[in-house]
This record gives sequence, structure tokens and C-alpha cells, in this order.
Amino acid sequence: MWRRAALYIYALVAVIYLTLPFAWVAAVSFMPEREVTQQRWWPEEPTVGNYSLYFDVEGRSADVGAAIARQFPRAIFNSLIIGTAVMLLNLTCGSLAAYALARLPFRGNLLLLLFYLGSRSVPGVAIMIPMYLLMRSYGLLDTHLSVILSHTTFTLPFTIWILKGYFQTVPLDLERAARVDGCTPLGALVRVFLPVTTPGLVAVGIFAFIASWGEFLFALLFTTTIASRPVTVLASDFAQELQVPFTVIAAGGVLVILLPLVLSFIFQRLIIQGIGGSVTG
Amino acid sequence: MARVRLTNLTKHFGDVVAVDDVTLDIADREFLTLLGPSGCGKTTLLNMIAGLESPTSGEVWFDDRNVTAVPPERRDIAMVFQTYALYPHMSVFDNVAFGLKMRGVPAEERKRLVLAAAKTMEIGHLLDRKPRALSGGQRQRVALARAIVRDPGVFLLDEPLSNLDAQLRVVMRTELKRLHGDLEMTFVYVTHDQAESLILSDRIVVMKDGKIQQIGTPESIYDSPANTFVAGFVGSPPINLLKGVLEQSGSSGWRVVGEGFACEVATSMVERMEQPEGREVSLGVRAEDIGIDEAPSSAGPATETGGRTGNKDQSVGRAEVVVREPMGSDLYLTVDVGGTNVKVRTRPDNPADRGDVLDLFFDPGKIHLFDGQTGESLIPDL
Repeated sequence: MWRRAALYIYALVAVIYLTLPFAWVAAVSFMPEREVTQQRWWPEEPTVGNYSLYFDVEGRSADVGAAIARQFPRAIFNSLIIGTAVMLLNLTCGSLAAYALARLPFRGNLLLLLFYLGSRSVPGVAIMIPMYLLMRSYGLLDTHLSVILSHTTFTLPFTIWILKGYFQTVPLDLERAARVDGCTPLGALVRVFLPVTTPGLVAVGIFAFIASWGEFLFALLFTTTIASRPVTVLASDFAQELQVPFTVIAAGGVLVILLPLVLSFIFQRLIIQGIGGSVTG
Repeated sequence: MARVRLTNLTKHFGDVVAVDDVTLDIADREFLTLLGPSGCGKTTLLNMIAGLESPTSGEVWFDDRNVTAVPPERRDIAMVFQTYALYPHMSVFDNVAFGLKMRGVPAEERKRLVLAAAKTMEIGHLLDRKPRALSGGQRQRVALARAIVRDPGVFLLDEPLSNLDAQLRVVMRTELKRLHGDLEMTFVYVTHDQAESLILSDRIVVMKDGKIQQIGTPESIYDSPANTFVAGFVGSPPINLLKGVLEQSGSSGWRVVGEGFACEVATSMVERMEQPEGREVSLGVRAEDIGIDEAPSSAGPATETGGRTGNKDQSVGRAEVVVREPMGSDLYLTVDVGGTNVKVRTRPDNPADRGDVLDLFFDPGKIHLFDGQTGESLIPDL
């Protein structure tokens, strides 16, 4: 009984700890400028004015932050392009690598996997300079591709790791049954293996997308103009204005969080199945 | 319809020899069982017939076609797996129809065939369900329907009943036998359950360590096992094996004498042996071929070992009851013969109990002699 109560209290504390910053950002986004300086937790006179700046830029071009808010749709578009490409790269490269690691008994496969994972433990800052030089020499600076490639380097090891574990839960007999039923090896992969592993693929795909969507450092380094800037980098531009419009930033933050949040809710069940679950025949 | 021939089939996994030089001719429409303990290579052998494993050496022939290098999708086979391996993302209907679809059977025809197979396996009411909504027995039926729907030449079954509970296993066993009677297919069936193999098969192949130990009808495997392994593996309870030495008895007879027993053997068993005198043998006798006193004497130490008493002419020895196991229709007694436990089957109303000392009688026509060292049968092939 007490143990159960303790567990609930612990869970509650964890939830508050994790969601409080987001809740406060959401609260601030509905406050008038004046209330932020008073350090309120809750808007006394709620307003949607901060949001309208993003949707009615022409009408309020004189407002603080309007110049940046105008670029917002384009930045979100950039983020979508980058996130989607990172997701697709993760799914194609990741599933092939994970399938090989899970199914083919080749020499040194554990070593290879550890190498993938090891590359993940190198902090991003450590490889930023060499990566910058690489991107520059290939003429990729300020392109979507530079950000896509850099994001893929740090999401792919995790994708391979998770997918390998997930693929190993698929009974070998399923593919064998497909072969006996008339599938070629590739046919068995496409018609039986991939459909069966959809939860795992969806989970890692969403994770890769969200990781890319929220990444800041590489994106800041490789992009210079709105042609390729994702929304995380654009949001930081607000801070360069003479006056920092916290409420407008907060509204922008909420708009940015919205998409990953919606994705997580839609695919909630598949994500949990994909990370913690297994496939049973 | 297909005859399956395996010639010198061998499979190595690294240093492990899973299947060792197997040559086997499976007749068209035969029900052949590969029987053996786990790790004996029977599943690997089946996988090579299916084309799911490629042999290290040797060939697989279906009728006049060498299929050794043909991938499974282009062999005319169907397979039922131990885990059923139903596609979890498809309905029962789609599971059964999948193989037909892959072979380009038109939708109308597909539907007709699936419904027919579903009727045979009595799963017509389950066609809309997903596999996870089915019980073990239902999944088994779906797996069988998926296999028979394509009307394959060779039907491969890899321990299909081992995941079912005991009652259902008996039902499905009968179902399989009926299926084989109805369908004109060659069945190759893998199991470690000797009872299943005896009940179902036309012929049994007993395997151990990748090698064939014996091929024969259930009767011949049971009645004339080729070695102590086959004798011990087929039959329940396992055959009793007693170590002893052959010696001349009287003027022309022979007997096996060991710790706690002495048993007359027919001269015909011995006469073709070289140097039978003093040869070490294992004497095999099944529980049902041992007779005992109907009215046992009261408890007391066994006074004679390996002796005959004047009036109990056929007794091979006296032994003390160690365990009494009533099984309803039968009673099994475990008796101690010179330190070896021997199981005896008797009528359930026999009052013998722990501590009683009994005279044992072996049915002379039903005893088996094996070489003491190699375990090979010493009884000449008939």
C-alpha cells in the first residue's frame, strides 16, 4: 500500500519536473508583456495577441519581433524538410543495418555495433569544427543537406540500436513461412518483415524526426540565411533585438512544440510498443 | 505428389556436424517421421528439404528434379512450424490466402480455395480474426489450412503439436492422420515425441547426433530396435536394459547372467555370433514383457541372486519393489534388479507394493540382446 503510494508520488514529482517548464512557456505565451516582468505563474489577463503576431504579420509590422515572426512559416518549412529527410534516412539506412546486425552472423558484427554506439558518445561540439570544414569544402554550407547529414550522424546509431533489438524479437519462422509461401528474400522482407515491425519503425522514425526538429547547435553553425534556417535557430534571433519580447518568444515556442507533441500523441501506442514491446507470431 | 530423395546429405554449422551423410528415399504419399532428441539434426534435415538451409554436401531430389539449389519459394512444398509462424498483421483469411496470392492465383479462385481449406480445418468462423485473437489450437488449424490450401507435393511439419496442451495434442494428432488419409501428399514430420511417431507414421527415421540410427515401420522400430539408443528412445516407459554376460547353460542352451538375474535366451539368437561365450551384452526387455507373481511373498531380503529355484523354473530372478505407480488401466512397478531399476507393467489389481519381493519372468520371445560395448543389436535381421 505505502509502496504504491510512494510510487505514485514519485511519478507525480517526475511529471511536474518534466512538464513545468513547458507549462510555464505556455502560460507566458498568453500573458501581456507586463505580466512577465512581474514573474507571474498564471496570466491574470490572458491574451492571444502574442500568437496573432505570427498569423497577422502585415497588420502588426511595427511590433517588436515582427521581422522575425514574418520568417517563421519559412523556418517551419525548413525544419519540416530537414526533419522528414532525417527520418527517412534513419529508416532506410537504419533498418537495413539493423536487419543485417540482427539476422546475419557475420564476423565482427558486435564490434561494428559498439562502434556505432561509441560514435554517439562523442559530444557534438567535439566534431563541430571538422564537420564545418567538411561542409564548407563540399559547398554545403547554408543548405538543408548540411543540417540533414549532421543530424543523421547522431540519430542513426540510436536508430540502429533500437531496431536491432526490435528485429531480433521477430521469430525467424515468420520469414521462413513467407519463403515457403512463395516470397523471394526481398519479398519476405517487404511483405512480412517490415509490416510486422511497423511499430518499431514508427517509433524510431518519430524519435529521429523530433531529435532533428529540436536540434540547435549544428543547425546554427551550418545555416546562415532563411533559405535553410530551421525554426530553432530562427527563434534565437529574437534575442538579438534591442528589446527581448519574451511573450512573443513563448508563443513561438508553443507553436514549435505543437508538431512533435501531436505526433507523439498520435503514435503514442506504436511508440511504446516499438520501444518496449516485441513481435509475436 | 512427389517422391523425395536425399543423397549423402550433410550439413555443417562451423565445426558442428548437424546432419551427417543422410541418404533417404521417401515414397510418394508416404507419412515419414524424423524422430530424435533435440539437437539430433532432424529439424536441420527438414529445413534442407524445404530449401531453408543449403546442404554442405549432398543432394535433394523431388521426383526427377534435383532441387538442391532451388530456393524454397520455387519448390512445391508447404510447411507448418512449431511456432505456427502466422503473419500477425494479416487476418486468418489473408494468412491462408498469402501463398496463393504469391503464386498469382486469381482472387476468385483464391477465395474458393481458402474457403475449402477453412472448411477442412473447421476454421470457417475465424477467417476475419487476427492470429492474436486465436487460441493455440485454432492457430494450429490456421497454420495447417495455410499449408494445405496450395495443394503442395510435399508437406513438411516441424514439431507442429509440441506447443499444444496434452489434450489438444491428442485431438490434433488424430486430425493429422485424417488429413494425410484425405490428401494425396507426401508428409515429412519432425518430432521428438516417440508416441506421435508410432501413431502417425508409415515409416520412422530415428536420428541421433546427425546420423540415422534406424529406418523402419513403427512396428519394426518398436519390436526390433537396431541399437540401445533406438530401444530406449522409442516406447514408453523406456525399455529396461540390464548389463550381463553370455554363458552356456546346460548342454545346448545359453543364458545372460548379470547382477541379480539370469535369463535363458533362445539358441537362435546366439548361434550366429562369433565367440558368444563370455561376451558382454545388454539385455533389453520392455515393461509389458515382464511377468511377476500375482501373489507376492511378504517382505524379506532377496536370498538368491541370479538363481533359479526348483519350482519356479522360468524365474530370472527375485527383485524388491521400489515404487508403485498406478496409471488407471495399468500398474507400473519399479523393481530393483541387482542395483538397476526395472519397470514392470502389470494388472492394476496386483497388490504388490513397496518392499515386496517378486519373482520376475521375461517373455523369451520378446527380449533383445545388444552388444555391451557398441550397443548394436545382436539379433540377426530377419
